[in-house]
Amino acid sequence: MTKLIRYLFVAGALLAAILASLAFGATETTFQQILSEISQQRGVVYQFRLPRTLSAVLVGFCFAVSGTLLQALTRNPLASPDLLGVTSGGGLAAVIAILVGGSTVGPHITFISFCGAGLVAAVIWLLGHNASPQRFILTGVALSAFTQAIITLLLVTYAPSAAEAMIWLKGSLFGRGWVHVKHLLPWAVVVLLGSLAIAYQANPLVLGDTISTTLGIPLKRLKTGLWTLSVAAAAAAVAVAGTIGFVGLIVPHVSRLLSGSDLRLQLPFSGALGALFVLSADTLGRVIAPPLEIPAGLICAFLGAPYFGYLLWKGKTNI
Amino acid sequence: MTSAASFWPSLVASTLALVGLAVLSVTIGPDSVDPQYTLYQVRLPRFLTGVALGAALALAGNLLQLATQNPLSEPELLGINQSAVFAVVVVLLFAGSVSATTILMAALVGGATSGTAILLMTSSGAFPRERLILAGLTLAFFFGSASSGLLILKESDLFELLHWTAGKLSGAGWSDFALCTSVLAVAVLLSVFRATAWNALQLGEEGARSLGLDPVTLRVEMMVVTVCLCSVAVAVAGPIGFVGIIIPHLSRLLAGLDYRFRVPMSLLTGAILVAGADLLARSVIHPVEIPVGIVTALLGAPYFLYRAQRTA
Repeated sequence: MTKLIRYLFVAGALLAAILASLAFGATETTFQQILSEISQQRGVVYQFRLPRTLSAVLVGFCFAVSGTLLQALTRNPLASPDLLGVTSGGGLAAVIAILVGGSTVGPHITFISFCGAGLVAAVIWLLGHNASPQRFILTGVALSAFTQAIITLLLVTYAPSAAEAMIWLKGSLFGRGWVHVKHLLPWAVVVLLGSLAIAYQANPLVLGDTISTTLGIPLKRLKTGLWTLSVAAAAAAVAVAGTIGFVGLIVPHVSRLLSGSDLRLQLPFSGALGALFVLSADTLGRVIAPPLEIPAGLICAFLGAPYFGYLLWKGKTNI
Repeated sequence: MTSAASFWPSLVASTLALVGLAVLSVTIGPDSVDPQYTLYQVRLPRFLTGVALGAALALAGNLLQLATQNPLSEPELLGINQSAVFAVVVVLLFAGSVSATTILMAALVGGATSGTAILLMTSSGAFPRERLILAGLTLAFFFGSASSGLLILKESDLFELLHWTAGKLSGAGWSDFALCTSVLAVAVLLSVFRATAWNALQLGEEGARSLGLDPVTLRVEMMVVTVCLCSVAVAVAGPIGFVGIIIPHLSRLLAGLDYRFRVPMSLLTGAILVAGADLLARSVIHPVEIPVGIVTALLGAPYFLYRAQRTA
């Protein structure tokens, strides 16, 4: 019961954040205006702010769910899609697309980046899925470092036109429209349903492979499923918003505090909190220093890093 | 402890390789109107700075692995380089034009931040390997994205700064060489006195204590030296990563476990790696110059993968 109240509280905060994000901007809008514009499907709020807000919500949702699944899979509370090379794979593909196709951020970038993230994730899986979770993580770290080096190489070689790519890499929701919402929504739904379906089986993973096998869990299938869902979520989010870090790392810890360690409860908490986090970061970035926009990825890093430090400090031995 | 049988042959071989590299480095390059100037003011200082930096980074890698008791530790992966870069970018952005000393100081302060964090994390001793790497990577990720976020603001110098944040040796002069060598000399001198103590620390903290050494002091001292070496390297050339993971293992393979032999071997092979990578970086696709840090990262990441498969 307390968990239901907590969840309602988180959902209420998310709703408030959505309204705030719709209301703040270059032109102030009243609550009634927002409602009427949305119901008539026209105007600034409907055309620009609403899709951007929804993109931020879905991106945050996807990153947080991805991190939660990844931490369950690797049994490691420090695992996250940004450190394991999934997001940098998407970043590399997007940088190539931006540099080759001129400096336009269009829907094709979304598709290419999604494929890039998936490709790198497949390589990590091929190299590391038979090894221990530790080796799996280190394999991801190595691939991440390699793709980062290629990204830097491309940025430096094509520096005059690289500014656009760098802004993309920072992770921003600037100018995201309905097309991005349409891309994200199916992935978010599929990942949520899929992960809730296998969450029950994934719960005993924390006890180790041996005990999980004794409990009759099809370990190989389960792990493949977790990785696929986690990568799909992260890839979809990266493809829309660029590499927004720290969401997949921090949010699972907060959601575990609120929901306990049962994945079936933790996943909805993670999704809502992730959405709240990214949406607040995006809104903050818009209102801190207008007309300059601070990329949401940067704000997430600055908000997330202190909490990460606190986590490390608090749980030096058991984190 | 004694040296491995391969120590003396490989010492000779790598010395010869370094000499060969020196000859290649000063001769290869575009023709110039003033060969004398090109040789003494451009190519020679650049090569020697590469040598000094490579040796410094190799030594730093050895010390960091010993201080964290983790064979996968590396200044770039644990965020020491990135925090130094971040501090320098902040200074450059807010102070406008600054002297080389200010940049060096900023790099030292930045590097010390991550160094302290890592020391605190590993002080309990129960920090598993892959978690230290992930925690360090998070530091690296944070400082990396913070400094590139600031870089975007400074669009006028974007190209120059971007090159620097990738680790470059182009434009290195005699003053850079002098700075690197003086810091390196102090570190090498220290290693002469400390090599036996370091050998003992390889046995773990308990082992070192039973031999009458204070492991905490030793580790703090090592971290200070590591941070100094890395920060100087960052101030001179930007972050050059992965030297600190390739060389410690290579030197251990060639020279054995004893630090009295491993340190000189590391210095030599590190010098060859960075000077060689720089020669590669400026001659392969000739008019375009690749920052040397990218070459070492492209070599180092697969090597890290290979090591991780074996040690984890």
